[in-house]
Amino acid sequence: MIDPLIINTIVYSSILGLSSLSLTLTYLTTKVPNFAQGVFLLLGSYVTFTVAEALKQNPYLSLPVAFLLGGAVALIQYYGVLLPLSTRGGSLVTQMVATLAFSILLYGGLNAYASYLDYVYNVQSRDVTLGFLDYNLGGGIRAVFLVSAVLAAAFILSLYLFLNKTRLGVSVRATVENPSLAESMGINTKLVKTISWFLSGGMASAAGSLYPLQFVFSPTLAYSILLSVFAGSVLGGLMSLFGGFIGGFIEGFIEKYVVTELSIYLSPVIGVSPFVINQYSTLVPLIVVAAVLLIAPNGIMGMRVKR
Amino acid sequence: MTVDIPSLILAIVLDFSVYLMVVVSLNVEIGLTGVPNFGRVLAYAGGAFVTGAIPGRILQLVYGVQGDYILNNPSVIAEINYKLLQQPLMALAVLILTLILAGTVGAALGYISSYPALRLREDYLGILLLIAGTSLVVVGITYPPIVGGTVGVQVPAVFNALLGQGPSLYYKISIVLLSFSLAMLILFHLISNSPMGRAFRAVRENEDLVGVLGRDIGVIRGKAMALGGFLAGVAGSLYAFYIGSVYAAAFDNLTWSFNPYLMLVLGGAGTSLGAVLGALVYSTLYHVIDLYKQTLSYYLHFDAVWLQYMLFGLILTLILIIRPQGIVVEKAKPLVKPRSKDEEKSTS
Repeated sequence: MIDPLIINTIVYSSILGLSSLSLTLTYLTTKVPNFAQGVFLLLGSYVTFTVAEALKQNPYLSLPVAFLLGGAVALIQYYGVLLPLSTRGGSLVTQMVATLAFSILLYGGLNAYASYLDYVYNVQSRDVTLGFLDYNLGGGIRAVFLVSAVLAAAFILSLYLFLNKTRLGVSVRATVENPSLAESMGINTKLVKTISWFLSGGMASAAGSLYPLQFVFSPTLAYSILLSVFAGSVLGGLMSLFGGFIGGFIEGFIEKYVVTELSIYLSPVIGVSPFVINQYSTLVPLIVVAAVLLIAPNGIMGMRVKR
Repeated sequence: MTVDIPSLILAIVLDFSVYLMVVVSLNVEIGLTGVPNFGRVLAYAGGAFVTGAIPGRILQLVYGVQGDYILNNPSVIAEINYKLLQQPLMALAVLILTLILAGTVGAALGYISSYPALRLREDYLGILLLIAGTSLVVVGITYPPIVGGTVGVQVPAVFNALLGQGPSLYYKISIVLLSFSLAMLILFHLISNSPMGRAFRAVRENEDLVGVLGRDIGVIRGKAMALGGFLAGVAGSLYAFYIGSVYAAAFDNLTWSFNPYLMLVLGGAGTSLGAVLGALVYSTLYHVIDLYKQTLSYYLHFDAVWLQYMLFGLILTLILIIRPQGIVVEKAKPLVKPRSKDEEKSTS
């Protein structure tokens, strides 16, 4: 029997770690913090919802679908919005705003889809969880606990092998280090960026597809979880992929585990119910980011960047 | 289907005035100084929370009204409103004091929230401001003594006392809000043409140059954040007085941070006319779609509110690609007249 809090923490931290990792990936190759990352995550969640609730299929079938869909939407964002903008010399801030504008378009679409499910299939599509559809492995453990941990490990391992053992992976790293030099050495930086955007959207959506199996979700989550994803990336230093994952994981761990434990200890002292203290966990991203920027602006991995 | 034109225009003017104030406050930060403030809601909610928390409590003390301000809020405010109706001067004093206080709180919030990243690159600054944005709202929802938590509080009806009750009240309020927003627009114009405005623009154009010339970009950005925060705080306070209540959960990032930001970008950051156009296009689009909501939802099979989000996102994405400066392009105002091409040729 594992403590439900630990299960919650591991699932949430794995999802957040993968999202921060994918945010860092596009940040490294394109230098733009992507505001649509939260919507990518929710795209995956709604794929799961469609597969499980509307089509009545195995919820885990949504994993590959979500990966491909998220990747495709990220490619649309890169080719349709960011590439034309950067060839016209759009500044960093303009590109950030463009990702925000595109995210509002996606957010509207996502909500419209949720509303459409409501109209057509007559199912509640907001503030729901699909935990009851998950497989029970006994001892209070459900499949999502294992799948989320394995998915995170699998993505990191394959990304590590890809970046270090393949020619394409080396060119990705070269583009991250010095885009203009890489280009002058004959590396196809456009291909590298294409791959990084596809992987980024895909990983975020795949991670998001597991979210409904453990937690309550709703389209509004897109912008609230975005804050945690950003905080995780900043904590990881925005300069190393695995730092991004670790940052996201720590951010999730603080939000779910540390705050809950703290609220249990603090509750008798200040006389407020632990449930109320727990609601302040939404402030964790702010505290983390402010602390990182004040103390160590390069994040936890900033000290030992491989050059 | 008959359309009630006067009430449609009234709704558009009310929304337009409120948004214009927020957009102008953002224009000081984004348009002039180049600080990407993705968390405008912080200072705005600060001003609104001040309005929900302070004037009611002061008037309760002044009039000696019994009862807990949060728990018995409706009855306390009802009694205050009744007494305020006989004292318009008191209402005016409360309005002015609250606006000053809300602006000050907004300025402080704007400065503090940007402090850790004032000297960092724009993307870090933007991420920090984005994350700081909703923090006050979370506290407002969770900690009821400020503005009643999830239940909310009512605000003393100073506009009723000042403008007189009756069917034309909202027309009068719309004129008040419109004049405030135009006053802010004039203030923005003055700032933009002052030495301070030139310093702001210098930071936007070239941070290193400003540093080399011996000015601290952190200080200049801090000033812009405080100034923008002040305007946003006043806007939040006026909005709370106009709505008549403060409900913490209503202050979300999407409505009060992202949409005003995108309105400014749509119209053209850094210009007064751009701010007006952006706010006008958005409020008109919103209310026109709202008008045909029922019909649209019937054909679309989903709530037509989301169509408005999609359209706004699409229009903006296209605008950014085709014309990144927005509809109105800021004219360069160089201090030294650049040499024309013929002169360059003749000297070289």
